[in-house]
Amino acid sequence: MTSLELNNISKAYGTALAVTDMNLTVETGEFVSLLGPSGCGKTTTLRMIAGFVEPTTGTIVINGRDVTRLAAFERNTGLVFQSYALFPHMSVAQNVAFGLEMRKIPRPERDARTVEALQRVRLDHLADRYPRQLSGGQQQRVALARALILNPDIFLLDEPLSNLDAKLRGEVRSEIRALQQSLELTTLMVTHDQEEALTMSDRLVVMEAGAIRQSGTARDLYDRPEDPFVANFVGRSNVIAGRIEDGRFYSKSGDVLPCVADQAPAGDVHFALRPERISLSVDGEGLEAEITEILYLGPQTEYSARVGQTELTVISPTPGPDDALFAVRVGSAVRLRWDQNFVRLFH
Amino acid sequence: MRLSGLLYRGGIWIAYIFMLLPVALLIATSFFSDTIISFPPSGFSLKWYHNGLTRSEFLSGFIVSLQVAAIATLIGVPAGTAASLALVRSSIKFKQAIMTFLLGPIIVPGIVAGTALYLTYLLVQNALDQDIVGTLPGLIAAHILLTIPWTVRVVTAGLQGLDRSIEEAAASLGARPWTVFGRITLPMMRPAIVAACLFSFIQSFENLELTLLLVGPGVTTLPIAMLNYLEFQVDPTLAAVATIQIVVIATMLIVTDRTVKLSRIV
Repeated sequence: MTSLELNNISKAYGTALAVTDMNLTVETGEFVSLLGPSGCGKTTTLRMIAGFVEPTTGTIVINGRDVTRLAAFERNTGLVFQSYALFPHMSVAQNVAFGLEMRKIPRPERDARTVEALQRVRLDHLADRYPRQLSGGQQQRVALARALILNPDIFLLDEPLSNLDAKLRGEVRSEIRALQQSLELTTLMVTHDQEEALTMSDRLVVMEAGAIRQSGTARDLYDRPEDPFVANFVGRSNVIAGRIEDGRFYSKSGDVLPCVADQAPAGDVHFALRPERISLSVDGEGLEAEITEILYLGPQTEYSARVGQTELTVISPTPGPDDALFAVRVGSAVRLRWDQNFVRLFH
Repeated sequence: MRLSGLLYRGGIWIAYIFMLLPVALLIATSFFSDTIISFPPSGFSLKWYHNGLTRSEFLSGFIVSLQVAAIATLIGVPAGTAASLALVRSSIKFKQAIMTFLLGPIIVPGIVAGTALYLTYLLVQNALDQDIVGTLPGLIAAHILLTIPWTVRVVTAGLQGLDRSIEEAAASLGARPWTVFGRITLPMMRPAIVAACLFSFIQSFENLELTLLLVGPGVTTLPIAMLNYLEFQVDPTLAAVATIQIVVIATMLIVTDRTVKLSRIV
């Protein structure tokens, strides 16, 4: 049975459309991420599922039940916020037990389940502390325990890792994924961080300007993006505008970029190639190019290379001293090569 | 580096001294034995405290001030809180106008408000054939005009700083709207409401201009009683009474600070 269905959902604020005619299905136990830039409508969509915003059109069905007109407190959703949203005037244990209290679960059972929930996130020793006494990571784990103790039909996460520092993010990320999988929870996460989305989700839904651009697994979106936006949003892409003529691609400035174009119809296209798919060498075969910028990123180095008048970004493992590329500087002449199968052409 | 640090510290000390010197002098004067305040004092005495505590007008003034401040706070704070909630949370129109209206009594100069209120009371008195000026209810009603604006000011600021997602979290956990209000919103508003009670009480207790024209025989507040005393005698009794007031209010502030960290609200 599908756990969550959004049918023709849209949200208008006056004449502005935050979400347009959205259709989405999430299977039981699936982890789906809504990924997109600020203002794409992903948070509005989440809030409609949670019950804080009423859709202008469409229906929301959770486990076969139409919840569109139900208030937030009537839906069985578990929510985790970016700001943790813990009750500051209650202890950790009271925070976690709150949902059970709302369901009038008797005290003994409430206490037992609270201890169990806190043990699951390894915070049972902090049960009597107050939120302000906890670190960010601990607060987020309390928020997780609080949401999951009710066995929600849908687990909703609104940018849960944004407030955490980089090191902590990885830990909490794994924690969330592990909990989600062990409890087989249907989960929907909103994020603008594609690394988060890629590492945690079974499926990604890329949104832009209120609509779904593409939905699929991480591999689907990465290897087979369906439009230039997705190509450059999930992972990075060089996107060059140009045209196909005589089976070859010409960029706007007239440079030829090798790709499998002989089957493609003539006309205007966008040429998309990921920076890490381009091989850089100092000599040998390949397109002649000149390095215009070098960015050292630690394990990798990002090069801007100019082919004729066209700029391409190349990402390569940072060369060691014995590597010929070690001597490459701004202004160096280099050669670029790539497997033409990795080029995507968008009409 | 050290010089600018020294200057900075020095500046702070000067500011503190400037603000607290009058208070310190007041407390000191209350112990001087001379009737005419002179420096250096010829001796020290507690007779002014004795005078202040035994004179009936100060005692009854204290009780009246206490009653008026307490009741005005008790009525004004809930009303002001309700108004703040409406102003911050609801979608009614003309919020800015309503806000300005509610804050009016403390924006307008005190004596202007006091005179206007006096004239209004006279009109209403004639119309209803009931005494209002010089009565306790009349004073209380006037002081509610002080407690409501102060409450609105403090509670509105507190509400605006409230993280709405905390209330949304409660709703997602099954709390109905009134439960969210009672278990989450109100407790989170506690610091602001406590501050509102404190400010309202103090503003009412110390008020002079609004009260001046509305007092009558037997129904006089402490500040007015002190003002009246000043007309006939200029001796350190008032310093003693003022010192007692300072001690009372300071104690209230300290006690409140224990329950609600005042530095977080003010």
